[in-house]
Parts: sequence; C-alpha cells; structure tokens
Amino acid sequence: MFQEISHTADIGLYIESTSYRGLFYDAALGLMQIAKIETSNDDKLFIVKYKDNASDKEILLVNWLNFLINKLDFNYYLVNCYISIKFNSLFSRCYFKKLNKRELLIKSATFHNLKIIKIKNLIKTTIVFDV
Amino acid sequence: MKINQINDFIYEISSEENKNMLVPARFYAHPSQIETLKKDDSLKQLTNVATLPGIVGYSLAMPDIHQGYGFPIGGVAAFDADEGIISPGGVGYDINCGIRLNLTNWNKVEIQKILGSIVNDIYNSIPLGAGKGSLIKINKNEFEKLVTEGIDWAIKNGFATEKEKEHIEDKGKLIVKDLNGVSDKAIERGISEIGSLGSGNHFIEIGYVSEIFDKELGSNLGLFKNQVVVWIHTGSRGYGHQICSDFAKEYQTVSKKYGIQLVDRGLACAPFKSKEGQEYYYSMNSAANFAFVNRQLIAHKIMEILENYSKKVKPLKFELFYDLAHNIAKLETHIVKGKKKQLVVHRKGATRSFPAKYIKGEFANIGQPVLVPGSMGTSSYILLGSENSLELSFGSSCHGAGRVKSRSQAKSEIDPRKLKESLEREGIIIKTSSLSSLSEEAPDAYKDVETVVEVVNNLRITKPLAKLKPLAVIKG
Repeated sequence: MFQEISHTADIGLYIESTSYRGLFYDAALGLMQIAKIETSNDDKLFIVKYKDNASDKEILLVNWLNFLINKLDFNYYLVNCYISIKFNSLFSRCYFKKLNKRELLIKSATFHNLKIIKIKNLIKTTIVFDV
Repeated sequence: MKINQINDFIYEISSEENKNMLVPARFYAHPSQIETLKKDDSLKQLTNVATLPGIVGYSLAMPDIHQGYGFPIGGVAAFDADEGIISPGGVGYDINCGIRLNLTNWNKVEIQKILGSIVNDIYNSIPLGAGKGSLIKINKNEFEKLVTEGIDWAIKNGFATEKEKEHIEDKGKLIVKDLNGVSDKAIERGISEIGSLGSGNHFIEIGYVSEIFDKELGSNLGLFKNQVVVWIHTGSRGYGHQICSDFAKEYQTVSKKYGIQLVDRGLACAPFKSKEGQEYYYSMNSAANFAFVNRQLIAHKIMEILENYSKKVKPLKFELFYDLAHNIAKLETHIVKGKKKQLVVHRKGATRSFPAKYIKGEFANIGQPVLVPGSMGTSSYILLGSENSLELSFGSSCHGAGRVKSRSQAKSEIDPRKLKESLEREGIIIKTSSLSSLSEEAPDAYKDVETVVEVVNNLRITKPLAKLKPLAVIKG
C-alpha cells in the first residue's frame, strides 16, 4: 500500500509491503497517482526492460522512481510492470502508454531521510519527491 | 529544540543542541513566525546542515525558511573552499531557479483593455505546464555551446543584448571548464525544454509599480508609478533536475569514500576541491547558464508579443531590470574572523544581496537588486543589498514569501474556483493549465511577504526600493 503524506514544499509517499518487489511496485503506482495523469485514447503499449544494480536498496529505489519520472517527462505513464529484485539488483519489464496530460511536474525522487526498514514481515519507507 | 532569541529578528540554536553540529544555526525571523516554524522539520534541517565538514560561521536561514529535503528552503551555508564541501542538496534540483523583472514604458491604464488578449497570447506562445516544449530547436553541439557560454550565446544568436547582460547576476555566465559530469540524459532533457516555463511555483506575471520608496533612485533606475512590468520565475528545467539527480546518486558513495558522516542522505556531498566536487560544480554552473538563457528566451518572446500591441498603446521599451539566481552554490571571497577566505556559499531558496561596492557594473554604487515575488495575488518587492548583509548572511537575503502549508493541505482547504473568482474580483487575471493545482499556490499557502520583507529590511540585509502589484498571473 501507499499513502501520500504531507510535506511543506514537496510531496511524500509512505509505502509498505510484505516484499521488496511489492514495495517497489507500490512506489511506482504511488508516483503515477501523485503525478495526476490524464490518459490518452492511444492504447498502444510500449514495453521497456529496465535493469539496475546499486550499492543499497535506497539507491535502487531512487533510481527506479527517477527512471519512471523520466518516462513521465517524455509523456509515458506506467500501466503495469513485472519486477524482480535480487539483493541490490532490479529487473523490470515495464508497460507504458502515452499520456495526454499530467498536472504535477515531479522533478526527482530524493534521498531525504530515506531508509527502507524491515520490521518482522513488513518492509516500509517514506520517500520525498521534489516537485 | 532550544531556540535563543538574540534580538528582535535574530534567533539561534546552539551547536550543543546536537553533538555533530560544527557551528550554531541562526535564522532571521519575525516573532510571529516562530510557532509556525516549529511545526515542520525546517529547523531540524537547519541544524543538520551545521554538521557538514568545513561549514563556516553559522548554518543560516532567511525569514522565508520552510522545510525542504536535506537543506531547508531559505537556507544559506558557506563552506571553506579548501577544507569544505559542495552539496547538490544544498542547491536543489532546480539549479538556478530564479526570477527576472522586465520594465516597460507603458502604464497600467494604457493596457487595461488589451490585458486579457496579451495574457492569452503569452499563454499560447510560451511552452508551460508539466509537458515538453521549447521555444527554439537546437542540436547537441549548439546546446553544449549554450550551457557553456550562457547569456553570451543568447547575444550571439540575437536573443539578448550587451546591455541586458549587465543586468544579470554574474552577467549570465558562470564558468564551465568542461561538461564531463553532464549525462546524455541531462542534455536530451535540456534540448527538449529550452525556453519553457514548467509548472509548480513557476509563473509569468504582468504587474505594475504601486509604490517607490526611494523616488530619486527609483527614477534613476527607470521606475515610475503604475509602470507595467513583467516577472518571469523559472529555472533550469529537466537539464538541472537531471544533473542534480545524477550527482545526488553518485554522492551517496562519494560521501562514504571521503569519510563524510551524513545525518541525512539528502545532505550527500563531496569535498569541493575533489575531482567529484569539481565535476558537480561545473555541471551545476552549466545548468545555471541554461536557466539564465531560459528566462532570457521567454522574455524575448514576451517582448515580441507586447510589440504586436504597440500600435494600440505606444512604441514599446522593454528593458531588463535584473535577473538573479535563487538556487546556486558560488565561489565567493568573504571576510572570516578578519581574514579573506574563499567560500562555497550555498543559497537554496535565497538571493545574493551584496551591498554597494561589492558588485560591479551599474549597481556598483547601489547594491545588488533583490527581487522578492509575493505569493499569487499579493505584492512583490524590489529591495537592494544593504550594509549588514555580508556580516549577517554572507551577502544573502530572502527569495519570496516561503510556503507555510503543504500542497495537500492547501488543496484540501482551498477551493480553486473560489480562489480564481476572488482574485478576479480584485482585478487580477489568472490563466492556468491546471485549475486544481491553483490551490497549491494560493496566498494562504504562503507566509505573509510583508513580514518576510520587514525582517530583512529591519536587519539592514536589504533596503526597500519599490513595491509592485499583480495584474495578471500565468501559470503552468
């Protein structure tokens, strides 16, 4: 699950899941929600494979979200994705569609106080976006 | 957190507040702002900055301080150039987000009947909002020249004049030795957005001069009452965002390499003199050059639009008053404990405000102009850098009103239709691509700009020159 949280200048997302895969998936959905996308009538799907290795999962998460932000900048939104995470490596097959318009320009995911915490079976984090 | 009041407008947090703080934190505020300031993390962020290596004097904040990511917005921090750091988080993602003020020779009565039409023309001509768009088409080679040469590139290509260059901070060109730190992705984003406004708090405003506090000086600088002016607030768009993102990521490991302990990963940094520090510095400077040209191109387009109305008013004079940076780190010489020292001064949501004799050119005997836009629909100010600014704030002042409500809170509390209607009742035209995001930029979401300006003027960081009011606001 994800929830938009209050931040004076920017926008934050609280995300929790029972797996890293779920956490990264929900973070992507949360990002698409806060961008406030107006979909287009063009139903064509664009498949993009994304691979990344990082020194920790926080960097992996920021890279993943910045990849999606970059796609938004070029007017593509994420419809669905398959994610696989092994240690600090991520592979994803992403399905994008053209968007008509989005209301919020998101500059970047930030590292501000970013920590991915695992407590028992729950993995959670809060990420702030510069908008 | 214990806050000590030093005098009416100066507050301090001791370095004993946190064992990692290397210097105290200081902020300039009106007593009426203190309770609000305690409600978010801005003061915590201010003390976090005080833990970074090489910080000199104080971790500082201006009266428009509010919570950011890593560094607070409205923050100023100076680091020893030899032993200190440079931090992308201390500049922000929108490198050289800044403000520009152009003066016309028209008065507000003369444009009353055509204002709506002018607003529509600007709205339809300038790429704005969250999508792509640019005013010019250039290839990669030309783009690299643009970000290296800044305003000189705009002059060579007929978009600016030598006279305008004299009215831009650092003459619209920061030194770029190379573009080794700039990714292809940054260049791709930059090429597709050069000459565009963006969204969020970026705006174009048509306003007028409502009051001139120093009439003789104002007149010498070309100001007159009821004069129509144009504000442009934007920055380095996707080019700057990508550069900041790239270095914020790289510096996660670079900080560790140099043994820098971070209390927040948003403060990631590198020694200024290191290879990584220099790469960011020149990449950041290239983004600053992009932003200077971006605002110049938008102004040039607006001038062309206004010229089309000359027959209905009178031949247009469209002159740049000043263009300045809000988000930047600059290598500057300051006096520290009686000795000249080179410092890397980070201003994140702050304006340089050097007093007379400390800048060159037309403003050398006056002081650097400090342009303070208010929130949408409220007054804005032209201030001038004054005698205490070097001692109190490394020559820095406020940059605007400063947020007080989160975007989500503003949206839940403020009806955008009612807001638009209320501004229109006051005679202010609002043109936006997104009515629902209008609430986020409502006057109630910001601090009172009058209070912010009162603080910096009382501290003699700045002195007031003129007050301006809005006629029309165009937002992305």
